[in-house]
Amino acid sequence: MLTRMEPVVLEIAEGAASSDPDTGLRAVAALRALAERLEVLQVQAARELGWSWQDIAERLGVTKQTVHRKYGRRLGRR
Amino acid sequence: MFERFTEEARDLVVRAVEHAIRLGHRYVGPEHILLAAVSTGQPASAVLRAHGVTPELVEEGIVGLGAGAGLFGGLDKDALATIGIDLDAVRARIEASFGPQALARAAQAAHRDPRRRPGPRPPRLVREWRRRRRARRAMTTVPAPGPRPPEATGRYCAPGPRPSGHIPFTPAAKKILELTVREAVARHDPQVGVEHIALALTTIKQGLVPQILSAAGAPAAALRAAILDRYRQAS
Repeated sequence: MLTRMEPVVLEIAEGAASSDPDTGLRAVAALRALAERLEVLQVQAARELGWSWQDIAERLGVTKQTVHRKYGRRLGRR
Repeated sequence: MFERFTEEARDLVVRAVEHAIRLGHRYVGPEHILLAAVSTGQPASAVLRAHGVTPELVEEGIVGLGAGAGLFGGLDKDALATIGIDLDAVRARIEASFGPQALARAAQAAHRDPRRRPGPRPPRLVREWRRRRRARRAMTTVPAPGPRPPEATGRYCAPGPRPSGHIPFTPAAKKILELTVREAVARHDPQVGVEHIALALTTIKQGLVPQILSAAGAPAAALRAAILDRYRQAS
């Protein structure tokens, strides 16, 4: 297990150790983009399961208006 | 732009749009052009199919690769790796828990222009104008006969309502059409045919098309040579 973890740990260490703003900022931007994509997928899945905007918003830690404004149109029935 | 296209080449472009609609996509990409290009009765299509690039395979590529690729496309894999996130691992897990259709729909939603967020409600007069304009349009526009989905390869059909209205070509797809014309010019061919579209498709390096071609085990360079060879024999 430890041996399998090693490369990942090493990479994290590298990223954290790297004080190069170029690497760090890129990583942050990529992470934000990834989070955005996953949010779309999860919100869509939740809506399809009949979750209310309120319930979704609670899990995301935002107001229901925020989620609805962001996704109401994008995911809404066309 | 299309005035020099042969009948078959024009038909191919129309088919590409129909494929996009059938697959539930709101855009026409190079992959839809490829799907149409391997489905014609022209020699270039036969060459592609002989190299394993069949309509079934292309369609599987679009639906399969496209689903996850669409949602995760354009993300900086290397940057994520520096903070210990393995994008391929994330993708594998997500793909294992969500169906390809859910992924495809999420990808569409993710790429939909977030700027088109509903703003403040327009004034009443503006709403009234819009209402009248819609009513006018509804009265004057004759509903189009509705594109028949191509039956030959229509195995996968997107659920829900078909995308309607204008289905735009992606910049990459426009690039393909531009390269197509260039291929014809470069070969001093007076007309733009299916073979030029096929040649243009072998030149792009990004997006789904190269992935699909390599999945078919047909390197773009070999395809290109085979297509050129086929037409050299013919002429």
